Amino acid sequence: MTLPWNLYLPIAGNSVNILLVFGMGGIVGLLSGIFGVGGGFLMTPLLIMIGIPPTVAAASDSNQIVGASTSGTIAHFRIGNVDIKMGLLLLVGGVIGGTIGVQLIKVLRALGNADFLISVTYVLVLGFIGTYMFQESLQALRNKPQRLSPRPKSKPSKYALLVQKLPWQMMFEKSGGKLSILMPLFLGSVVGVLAAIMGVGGGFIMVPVMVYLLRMPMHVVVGTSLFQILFTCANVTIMQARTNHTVDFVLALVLLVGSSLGAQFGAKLNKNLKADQLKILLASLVLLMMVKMLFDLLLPPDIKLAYMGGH
Amino acid sequence: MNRKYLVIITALVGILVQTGIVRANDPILFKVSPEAIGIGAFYDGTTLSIKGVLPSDCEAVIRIMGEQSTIKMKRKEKVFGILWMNRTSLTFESVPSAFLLATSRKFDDLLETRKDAAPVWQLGLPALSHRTVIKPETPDRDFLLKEFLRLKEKEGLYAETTGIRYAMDSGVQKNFEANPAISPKFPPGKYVIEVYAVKHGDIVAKGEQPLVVKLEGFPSLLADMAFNHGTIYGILATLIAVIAGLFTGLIFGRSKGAH
Repeated sequence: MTLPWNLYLPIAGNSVNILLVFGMGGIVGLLSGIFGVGGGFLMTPLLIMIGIPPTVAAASDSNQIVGASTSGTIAHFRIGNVDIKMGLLLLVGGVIGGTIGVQLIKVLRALGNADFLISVTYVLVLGFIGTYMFQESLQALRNKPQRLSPRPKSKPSKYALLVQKLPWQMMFEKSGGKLSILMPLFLGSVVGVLAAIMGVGGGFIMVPVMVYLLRMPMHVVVGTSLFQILFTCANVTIMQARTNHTVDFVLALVLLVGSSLGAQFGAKLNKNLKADQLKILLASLVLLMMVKMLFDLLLPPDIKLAYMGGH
Repeated sequence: MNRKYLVIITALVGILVQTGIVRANDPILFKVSPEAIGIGAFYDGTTLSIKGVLPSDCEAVIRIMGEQSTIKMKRKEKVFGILWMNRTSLTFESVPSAFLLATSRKFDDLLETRKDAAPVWQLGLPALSHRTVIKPETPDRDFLLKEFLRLKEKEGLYAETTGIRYAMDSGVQKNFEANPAISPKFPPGKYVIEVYAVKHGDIVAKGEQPLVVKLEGFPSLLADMAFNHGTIYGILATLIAVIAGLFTGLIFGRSKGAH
């Protein structure tokens, strides 16, 4: 608390300790490099905790993620973990979905109780994804010795059969499979809609979608997710700067120096972790986040007023 | 110009102290330094020095207030009896951006037995919230105002302190001095510093000076860009982030190759 360096943030309207913000960036960048998520779920509340207004925290964080995900994408690209073709298709889907999502929120708000619906959906989606991933990777870790024999050979599911029948099949070398381009476009849109409605980057939903529905190898998933997040967050940053003036560049810069360093170490750690270990860690993180959201909703707030624009 | 003015006031204060002619109803003269607060890149709040003279039998009350505005808020309520969420929109009208009250002892003590009937009560936080208009009108007004004050106090924007010290009491007059801390959260803008001489719950005399808090140098440049050229600012912020990310990526790539 008595660290000496302070920096004034002109948009946030507060001063912060450089080392503290740098450290926060480092930790979140590390997670981002390991798991291929933007880390907004962790960073935004941390920033609010040190006195940054919520809207500025969220917008500056997306600016920061641009830096961290660039750094992370390069690190993963070098290891051969980025499927650019898949990433671009997901991105196109994401943009379409995001646009639909923004319109959908307006309709939901007009119907009333939208915020309630959004929060409950969010908690349920996270709970479902987290539990599923956790169970699945736990099983895989337990079955490890005889891993090569029974499990993958089971008969193809209805889902797999359906996916094979779709038109416009394309070879995705990095992801190691043939797939209809409709799949990433459609799933990208779904994640885009969810992300827009919930007001999050979507990495947490995108990663499981790539793993389970696009059947991509875990390591490629992380690199590709980062590649895609880079563009999503660049878009959000410019939009926020243009319409709400909530991007604090000083804050973003200090954060991103920390997080792009963290992302490099994260990518190295990612390489040393096995896919199932990664999955189970990510699942724990998703569940942790769900529990936190649930607590936020259930516990009576200390002060029963908030500035408009927050949350 | 300003400095000259300050010198004159300081001299006047000095003379008044020497000659002992400060009386009730004279405006209170005081000196504030710094006269204006500049927010530079490394600004972390500041401490003001407020010095002046008032009649011996009076207490000083110093009040620093920011510009008044209307604030939009959301009330947190329980939805379906279980989940806490931001629900009802409310506006709080004519609330100052910041409010700092300094006294030599507890503010309530200065009211003596007159409590909120004392004119001095009007200077404090409860009176401020009493004057605040909440729209739409609500039966929970008192509760909401209490929450509003708590929020502002938690943010460090509203505060009551007991930092005034007295010295050189001649029996007719005394010097007062306070060093209120200005939080870095005090937004740029115009402020008013008021000094009141109070006695038995009445306001005897008053003095007033403006205080400007403004962005300077880099923060000023950046805020101007962000608010007046939002799109370019956003694009630049994104580009710099990409470059910083690329740079870190390349450095790490190279150092890895070297090992």
